[in-house]
Amino acid sequence: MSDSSLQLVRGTLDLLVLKALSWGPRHGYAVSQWIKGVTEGALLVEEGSLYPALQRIQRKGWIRSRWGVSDTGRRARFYELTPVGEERLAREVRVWQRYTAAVERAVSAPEWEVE
Amino acid sequence: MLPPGFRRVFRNPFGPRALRSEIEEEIAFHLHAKERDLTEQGVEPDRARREARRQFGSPERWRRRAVAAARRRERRERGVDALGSYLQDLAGALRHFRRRPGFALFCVTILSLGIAAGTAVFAVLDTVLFRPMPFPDPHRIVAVQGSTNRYPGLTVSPANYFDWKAGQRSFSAMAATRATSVTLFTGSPEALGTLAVESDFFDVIGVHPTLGRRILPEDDKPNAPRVAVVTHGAWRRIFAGDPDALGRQVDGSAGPVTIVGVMPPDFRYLDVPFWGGPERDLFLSDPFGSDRTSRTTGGYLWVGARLMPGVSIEQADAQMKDVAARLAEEYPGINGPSADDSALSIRVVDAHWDAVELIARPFLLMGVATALLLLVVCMNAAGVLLTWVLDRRRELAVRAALGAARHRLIRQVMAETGWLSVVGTAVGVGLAALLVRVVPGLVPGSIPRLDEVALDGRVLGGALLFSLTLWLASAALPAIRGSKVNLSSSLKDGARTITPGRAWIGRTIIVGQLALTCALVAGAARLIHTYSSLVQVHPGLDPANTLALHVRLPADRYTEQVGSVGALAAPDALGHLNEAWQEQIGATPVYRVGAEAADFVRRVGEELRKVPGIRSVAFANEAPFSGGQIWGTLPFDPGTGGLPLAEREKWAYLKWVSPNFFETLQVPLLRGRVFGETDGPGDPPVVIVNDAYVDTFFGGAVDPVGAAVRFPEDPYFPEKEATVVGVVANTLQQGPHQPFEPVLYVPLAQRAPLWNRYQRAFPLRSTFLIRTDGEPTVLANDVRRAMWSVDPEVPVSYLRTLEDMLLELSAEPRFFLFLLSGFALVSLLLAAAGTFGLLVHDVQQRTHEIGVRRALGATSGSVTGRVLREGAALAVTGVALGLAGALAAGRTLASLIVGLTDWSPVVQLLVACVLVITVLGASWLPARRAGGVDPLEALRAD
Repeated sequence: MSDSSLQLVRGTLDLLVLKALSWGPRHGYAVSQWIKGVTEGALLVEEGSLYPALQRIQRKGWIRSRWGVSDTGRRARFYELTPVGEERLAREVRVWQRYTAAVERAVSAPEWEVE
Repeated sequence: MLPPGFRRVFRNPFGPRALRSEIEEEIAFHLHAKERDLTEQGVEPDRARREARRQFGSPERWRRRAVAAARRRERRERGVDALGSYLQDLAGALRHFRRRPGFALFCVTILSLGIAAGTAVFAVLDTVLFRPMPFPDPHRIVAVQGSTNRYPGLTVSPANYFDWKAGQRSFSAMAATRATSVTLFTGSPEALGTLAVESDFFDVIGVHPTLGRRILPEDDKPNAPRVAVVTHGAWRRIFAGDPDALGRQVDGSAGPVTIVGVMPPDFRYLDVPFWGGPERDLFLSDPFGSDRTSRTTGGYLWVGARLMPGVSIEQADAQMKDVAARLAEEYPGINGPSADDSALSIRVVDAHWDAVELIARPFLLMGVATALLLLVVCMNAAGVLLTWVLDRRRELAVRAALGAARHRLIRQVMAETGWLSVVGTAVGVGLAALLVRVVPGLVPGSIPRLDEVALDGRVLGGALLFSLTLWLASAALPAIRGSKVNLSSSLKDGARTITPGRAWIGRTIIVGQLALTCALVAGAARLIHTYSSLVQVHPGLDPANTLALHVRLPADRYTEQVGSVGALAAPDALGHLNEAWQEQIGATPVYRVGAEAADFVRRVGEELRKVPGIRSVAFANEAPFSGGQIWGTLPFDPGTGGLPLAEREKWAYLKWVSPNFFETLQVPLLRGRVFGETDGPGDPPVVIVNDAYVDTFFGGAVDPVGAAVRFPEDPYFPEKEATVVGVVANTLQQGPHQPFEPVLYVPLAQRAPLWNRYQRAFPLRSTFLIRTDGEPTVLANDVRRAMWSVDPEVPVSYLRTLEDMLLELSAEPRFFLFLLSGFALVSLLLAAAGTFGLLVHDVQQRTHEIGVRRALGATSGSVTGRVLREGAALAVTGVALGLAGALAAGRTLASLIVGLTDWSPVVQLLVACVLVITVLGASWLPARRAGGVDPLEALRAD
């Protein structure tokens, strides 16, 4: 993976983590399963890569974590959005939509338009 | 720097050692959960474990990376965690407000109203009551007063004063002063607030002229030419700031005076240190005039002094009391004890507090009213914040479920309310700055130093304290309630029903707030009732277009000594006095106030009538409502004229007036006739009485016209017997807060001719009441000229319109009326807003319940009625409690305000009605909303 594509993946992963937490607190496993589910495993090739990402995102102050009890009764670390994270998510989603719309328009444009 | 518990409470939960094991546990959980999921899908356990590992990637590698990332995070957070999470709280709070701007606006409004009221009142109290006059070492300036059991703060006579000064060891300077008014006849003649002072005065206040010289000891000598120091303002106004004015002799109403000095520009003297009174612009030498030897119990001098360094007020007081005791032995007749009073002692008091005491009571009341208002604001804010916090209990419950410590939740609520406080304080202080700028203009001249009020550091400090208190008081309950989250109920069905406990708190707040508001409004209503009756009280005459020219005829030219009291007075008039008094008073000179005075009045009247624009000129010894002048009070009793004066209980004012007095001032004649030309010096004595006189002396029932009355003019001469020929309406005398006093009008032509030394000033005081066709003030110079054409040496005491004088009397009531009305209105608005907010919230919370009711057949009307009834119940409970409280506090109120009207059931009923109607009005919208709930919608929600 080249550096730029890594950056791209990282940014996208951050966005997806925020999105995964936007419905409420979840533990890391739930986040990974949601991301794998919606991206059909394209983004999170190895689930373990989520954990450094979670630490990184936490460092940015967008999410925070607390220990709680999972529905199976085991201790698990739950992540939740901070107010800053909520803000960030809203912004990232808008940026993403504009970005993808732009790319979409670009890649599907007929030849004469691209001069 | 930080309190000891701080680090522990807010420490980072991810210690360095914990990091690794936590991430290991997290990864273990992940793998376990994955395995479990796979097993549940039917994968056999061994394969499931391998598959979980395959999908995860190397746990070892990811753990290492995650721990490294966590370390980076941890290093960063160690520095900024505490601050960062606070910032997060603050940012989160802002986000909430963006979502509900109406709520935020409401909170900020009520908080800022409270802070504005608190700050403005504090600024006024601070300036008017607590800030000393801007003199060096102001706390060393004291007032030295005579004191007896009956009269604790007496002015002093010259002879006693000189003995005090000779005997004192406590003061570095001591000066006698006398307040007066002097008009300088240069440029535009202007009556200047004047203080006649001894030279030591400047050492007492510690301020000296910056231009020219001060008054010097040689100016204190008897018959020294009179010199004066003027304030910078007066110098600019009257002399156009001309330096040549120094040393110039100017004609003044008190004779020629040489201006010798100008005080510094920032100097002002409000007469507060020695005497509550208006601003002084002229400091004249020689407060004694021709009288430096008279010794009486009271006197006409106010004495100020500056304590020597190291001498306390108590020491000075004790030392002066020794002086007083010596004088009481030396002059037992005057300074010694009398039958009904103690010996003349001396008291030394802080000059500032002594003056402030006179005006402190209404301000104290203002402070109490403000405290009540602040309490209402607190409860209001607490109520609103509580509903807001309860609205969000689901969010808080989630956070609590995630392990958020309670202190963290409290902190979040405090952060949110903190924002509101900060903005509220900023707006409130701005509002207060506006208020203190605007209010003095609305009620000019009512309160000394009101124009000096400003928001300085002290006041701003006070404002911060207010806002901090408001914040803590109003946020504490919501924070504690909000953080006490019951997990299961809040998460499962918290949004659907309101638990009784929660409703109970909100309601208690509303009821408490209504009760406080009711008490405040009821108290304010009573005061407003009192004050408005003062402001609106009819003066009993028409003050429009009328000038009052008050002069004092010089005693040396308008009286002549004809003997002594002992030789001329009625023998029984002195019978009740002890021997020493009889001797002293017997030796008192007696003067005849003769034809010259009557002639002066007649001729000035003639001259004035020649002035174009003057319609009529009447005469009286004192102008109506000329405040504070009680010298005319004389005892009177028609039935028991033989009773010694001192034992009579009923008193009446005595006024000498010209025949046209009643017509000129439009005082209505109720019965009988007014004076005429037939009531001359040789004719049978007649009097006219006012309505209050009839009530006091005739019990109101009898027609007094034709009745005979006996009264003294000078108390040491035989009483006069006269026939009542008319009854006129009451007019204001001392002030609107005083009841109408009985007045006996005597024709000027029949005034007694003989007066003793101490009473002779009375017949020399003369007021011309000049009714003009148009604006009277433009005639002021013509009026003065006309008067001086008769006698150029008669000093003018004042020349003012009756309307001005009337306005001044009601200035203080008007100020407090204005203030209290504002307070009452604000707290009423707050109560309405608070009730509205709570009921809206209530209805919103119970949408589900209301939906069920509607589904079960409740009509829209019955639901509306239910909410309205709840509002009414709150209102009635609050009002009942509030009225009870106001009643209980009524006595305290009555002791603070002189002339407080009685507890009026009508006014209180009105207050109760206004409050109930206000609350019902505030309940109307929530009630309508409840009535409009669609059962299907309500049940589908959630």
